[in-house]
Amino acid sequence: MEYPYYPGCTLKTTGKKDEEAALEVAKLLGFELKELPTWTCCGVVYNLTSDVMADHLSATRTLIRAQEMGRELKTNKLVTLCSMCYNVLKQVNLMYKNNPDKLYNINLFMDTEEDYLGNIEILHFLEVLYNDIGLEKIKQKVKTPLKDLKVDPYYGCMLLRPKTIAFDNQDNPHVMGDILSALGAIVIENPMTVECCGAHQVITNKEAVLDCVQRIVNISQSKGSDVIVTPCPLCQYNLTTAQKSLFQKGKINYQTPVIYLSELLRIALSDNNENYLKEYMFIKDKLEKRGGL
Amino acid sequence: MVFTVSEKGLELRKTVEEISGQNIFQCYQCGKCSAACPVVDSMDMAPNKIIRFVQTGDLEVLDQNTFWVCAACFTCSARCPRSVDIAKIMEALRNVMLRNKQDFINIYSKEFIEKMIEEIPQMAIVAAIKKGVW
Repeated sequence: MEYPYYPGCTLKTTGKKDEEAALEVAKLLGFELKELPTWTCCGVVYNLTSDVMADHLSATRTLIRAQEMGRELKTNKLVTLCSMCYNVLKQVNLMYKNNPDKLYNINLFMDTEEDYLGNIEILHFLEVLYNDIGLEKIKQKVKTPLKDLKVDPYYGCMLLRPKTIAFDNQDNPHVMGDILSALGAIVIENPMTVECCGAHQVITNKEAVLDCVQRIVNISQSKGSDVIVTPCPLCQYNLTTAQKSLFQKGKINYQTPVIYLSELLRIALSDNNENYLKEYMFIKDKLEKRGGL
Repeated sequence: MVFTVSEKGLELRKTVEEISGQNIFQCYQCGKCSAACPVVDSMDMAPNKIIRFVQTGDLEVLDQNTFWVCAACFTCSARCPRSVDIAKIMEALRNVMLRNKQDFINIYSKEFIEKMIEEIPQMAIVAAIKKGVW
């Protein structure tokens, strides 16, 4: 099975690890993510005003690219790895579905491109794993069970809000937890799992981000998590760097590693994972202690 | 008690309602948005109070940092019992400022350019620019 795949800007730079791991996980699970041949930024944040259409142009252009590629691969799906891309593309797509007149206008405006027909389905990588591949198949493919590794899945905002685009329960999401249980890990229930990490406020108001992260990490640590996993590159960055500052200020006692879900999947699913485990010593130690390896 | 709303206040309320597409009088001041907001500690004025100020057409609302601090995480919109999309109202207030050429971030300033050199993910930079620069 082949899926058209939209990486987005951050996965090519600071979020490189996520992309590398996810592409390999896809191969291990028997499907392929085919990158769109040309793509632009999705816009990162969905413009919430009712009268600005120009901000939706870049997302629309990506949807048109997906439509072109979908014709070749005979599918109408587009997979994203980044939560913010998922959010923006899905909201723009939904806006066109609800307002055909806006789609008509934008197609008139973008007269050098082919018309967007409005039938692309945006999927997040997690959805593909959960719905298309299924937990049973993931369970069968596990080579290194993450036995007794205490994992805290952190969703962030962009996958679950607003309600119209959420792929999971808004207040009590379970998709990541189910996948992690299938890998043999112990899933920690953190009530802050859908809280915001502060997002782009890291540029203008770093204190707010520190507050948000402290609340998330405190509960995670009091529940004894070994590692926090997240699907979002910005959450990963914020949680990691804010923990560093909080630790220097003495507000938290130790730093919990924050990695992408795909990285953990790669460790669990691959046979020869000595190479990867070198990068994740904390997991190796924990697994050896608990007899997981 | 009789409220008098100034001409400019009325105009602000109308503009906010137009840009956000929300009925501002849906709000009955329960304060759930402020209770749910993860960054409310850094705000000059709590989100529910901002809505009240827009309802009464108080122009002081534009001097607050609340809508700039808003991270657009949609928690308030998800929790509102009256289905007011508060995130959209914050975006409308940002736009009222931006359309009057009052940017929040100066992208040519030294602090901002220094941020670019740090290893901040592009998505944060683009998001901040889209929210704070016209």
